[in-house]
Amino acid sequence: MQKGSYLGELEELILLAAASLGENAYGLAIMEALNEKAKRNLSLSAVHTVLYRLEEKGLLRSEMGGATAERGGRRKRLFKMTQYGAQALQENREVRESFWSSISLQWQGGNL
Amino acid sequence: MKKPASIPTWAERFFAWYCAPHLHEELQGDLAEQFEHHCSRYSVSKARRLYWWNVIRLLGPHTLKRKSVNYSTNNTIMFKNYLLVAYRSLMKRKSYTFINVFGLALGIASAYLIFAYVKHELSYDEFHSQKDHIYRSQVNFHIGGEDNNTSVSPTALLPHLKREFPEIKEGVRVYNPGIFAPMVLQVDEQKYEEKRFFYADSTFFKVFDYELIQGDKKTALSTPNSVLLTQRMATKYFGYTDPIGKTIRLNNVRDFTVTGILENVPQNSHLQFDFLATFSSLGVAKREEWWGANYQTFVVLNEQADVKVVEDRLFEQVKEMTKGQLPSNGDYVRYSFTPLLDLHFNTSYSNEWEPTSSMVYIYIFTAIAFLIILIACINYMNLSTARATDRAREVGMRKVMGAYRSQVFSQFMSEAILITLIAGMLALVLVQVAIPVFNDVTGKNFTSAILLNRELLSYFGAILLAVSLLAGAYPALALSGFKPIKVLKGQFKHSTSAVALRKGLVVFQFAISMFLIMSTLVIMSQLRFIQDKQLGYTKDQVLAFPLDYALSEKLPTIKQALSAQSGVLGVTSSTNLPNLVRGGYSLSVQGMAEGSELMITAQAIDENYLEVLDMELVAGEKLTATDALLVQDTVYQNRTYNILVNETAVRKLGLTPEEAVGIASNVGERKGIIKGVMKDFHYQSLQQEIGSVAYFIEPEQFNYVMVKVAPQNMEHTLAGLQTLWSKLAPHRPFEFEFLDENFKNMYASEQNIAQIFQVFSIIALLVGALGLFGLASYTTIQRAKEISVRKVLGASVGQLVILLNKDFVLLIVWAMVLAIPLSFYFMNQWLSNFAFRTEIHWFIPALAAILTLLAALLTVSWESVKSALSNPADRLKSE
Repeated sequence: MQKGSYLGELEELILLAAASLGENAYGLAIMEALNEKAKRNLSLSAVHTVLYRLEEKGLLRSEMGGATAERGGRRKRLFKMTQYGAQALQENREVRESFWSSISLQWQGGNL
Repeated sequence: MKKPASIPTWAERFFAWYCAPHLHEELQGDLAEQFEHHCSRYSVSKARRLYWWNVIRLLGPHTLKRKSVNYSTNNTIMFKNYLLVAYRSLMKRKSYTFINVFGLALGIASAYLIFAYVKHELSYDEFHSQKDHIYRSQVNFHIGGEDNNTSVSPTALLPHLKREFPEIKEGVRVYNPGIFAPMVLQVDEQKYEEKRFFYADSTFFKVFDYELIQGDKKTALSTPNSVLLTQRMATKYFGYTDPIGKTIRLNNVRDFTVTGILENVPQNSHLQFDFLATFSSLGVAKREEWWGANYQTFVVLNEQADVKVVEDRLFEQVKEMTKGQLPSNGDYVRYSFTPLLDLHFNTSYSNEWEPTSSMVYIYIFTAIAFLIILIACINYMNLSTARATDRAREVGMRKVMGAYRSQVFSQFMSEAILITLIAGMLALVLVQVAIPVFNDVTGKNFTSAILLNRELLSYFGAILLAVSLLAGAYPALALSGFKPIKVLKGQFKHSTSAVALRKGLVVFQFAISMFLIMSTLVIMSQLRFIQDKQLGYTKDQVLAFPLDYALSEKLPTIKQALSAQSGVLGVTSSTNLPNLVRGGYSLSVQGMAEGSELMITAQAIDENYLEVLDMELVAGEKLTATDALLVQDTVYQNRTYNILVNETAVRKLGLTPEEAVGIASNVGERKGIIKGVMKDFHYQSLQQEIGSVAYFIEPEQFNYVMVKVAPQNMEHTLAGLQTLWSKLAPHRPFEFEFLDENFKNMYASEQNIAQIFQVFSIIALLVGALGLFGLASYTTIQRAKEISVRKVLGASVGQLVILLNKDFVLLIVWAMVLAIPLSFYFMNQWLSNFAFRTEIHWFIPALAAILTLLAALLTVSWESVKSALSNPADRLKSE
């Protein structure tokens, strides 16, 4: 893993959420997905800050989407994971897997 | 369906205000969407609360920070392009460039010189280290209900102050006998008359900071009969030999030893001297005398001391001392102290040794400097906006290519800055060239050093900055505001408000020019009035020779010899020259109540005085040789004075001239009879009213001998007089003053003001005319086709010129309407300084109007005639 591209926990979660939302990954949607699935209580502000940071790091890129009726005609900023973002997630996952493979989480009884 | 809940407006506005524009849309979209979700889940009021909360939470560095990185690099790259385009547009229209640059340069150079002058005037006596604590004493004699203020004080004042007042740290008495008559100084066989010969106490250098080149400040003025001289004088008298220890003879009677060399006294010093002799050389120095004041007393006060307290306590003490010695009960003598730094601008005391200036003139000159710069800036503004059509396409293209308004704005600003910088360089050159002329005009002594003065250069920088902002901002705003669609379609038009503003500015420019011209004319006509004023005596062809003790001894012989000379019409002598009589006396007549004496101005004259100076009597008789015999007794009490008074004196005494003749009266201690009543005449500056005057014969007081010569063969007469003079007064150089010159010098400061006004009003007119020329030539070019068509249809050249000039003439007329009442108001204020003044004649506004109109018509017609004369075929063939 490259030095400096360390992913924080929230960063990783948001990156994953953005990737999972596919074509419809914008600020509010990402926040709601996280709050729902991870039972977080994140604010718009927190999510946006992280999104912009990830974009600056080059893990995400964004463009303005088309106008929509529901938000007063305002456009959404749609985020997409970059190749580099995917790679960073992959590396993170490998690190975790390598640990997972050496331990068993199944409870072995009261011997511990 | 529920009515759609509304987002809190203020929160939305607040967000729009702080949020960076590039994030604004998406974030507001998210906020709006979440608001809708909240509405469906909670109450509307909670949703609104949450919206507010979100807006506040979004407030952070990343939403506040504007995206800017890209733009700034863009600007630096573009800057080179701006310079290039600026250079091209300057080169393309060379005449406009010249008008702008030259006009601004003239304005800036004028301002530079004026600031140098003002700085000099304000810097008087700033070079003394104790400047803030040095004061000079004045005396106010309040006698018989009249006030007499004088800048000189008696010898006893300083010793008294030093004894009685711990507040007085140091003090010095200075005496300037040169104000009465010049001194004659002699080294070996060389003789010169000097007017700047001062006496000063040995404490002089403890008070003032005049520098010594040679000698010791502590001892230089301690022994009697020693003298210091300035470097200039050292060279004049001793050339390259060392003057220390050498002897200078004063008035052929007393020898002084040179003990040191002073640096030349700076021009911004209130005391102006070339020689400084020890005060103890004077006989009067040994006595403490309260009566008879000829000396200026300077004191250094302690830092904590309060001048007011010192003055009040001194007043009480003087009151005690003078008890019973003053004519009546209400009379008093009050000493006061003026800060040294205020002396140059203090005009309230008579007999100052150096001419003082007035703060008013400082304000006026500063105002003129700004006005000229303003005129030049208006030129730039008008020419740039008038030429906007030239640049409109460029602005349109730039905007289409993605330039922001701010970028176009900064482009035109940088053009203005460039022009100002070039003008600034040119201005410095102009200043250098103009210094000699400026010295002539102001009577000062500026050198190229003013170009290196740090303070002046910082003003210069400020002027450049102000000019670029002032001149550049309006055109830059106007030009950068063009809508690309309109200008590229060719629908560009000057907006009516812009045209109106331009016209207004031209009116303003010419109103200023006219105001300055009118002021100049009024000042000049007042000076003319002074020169031509019937003063009540003749001042033409009268030569004045100062007398000294040796000459006074044999005055009758001298007068006789001078009268016998061919070409001499008359000879007389007196205490003062007739244009400025200074002696203060009291006059009492028989039967007058005690203490009601009249304060008068008086001097001694001889029996020929009235005849030589063509003065008239309204009653009684002239003085004769017999009257002179009456005052020959050496004991004053035995003399009988026959006195001449003027009409004003008689009127103040409540008598008619006929009644006054023959009345016994006293001038001071002199007992006598009024022999004649003189017609009122001007014995001092025309700024003052005519007061009461008495003249009497007293040969001991004669300081001048005046010779009236025939106007024909003046050179021959003067040569004859010189030969005679060298025989009569071998110890004195043949130096004299013409009375009319001396009279003129009394108004030197007014002369200066007039000249300064003259020069700068011409500059103002010139700069204004330059701008008008540019504007006129531009509009004429714009209307070239129209003119050609008119010509083809049969308009005559005359009609076309009138058509083109009409608009501009109208502007000048408006300028007149503005300027004339304004000038009348201000110039009447100025004239009210003179007790005797000219009226503002109708021809002054008329002349100013004609001058301005002429300047405007000449400049405008140059282009309009050219255009009207041109062949329409040349202009119309392209279409």
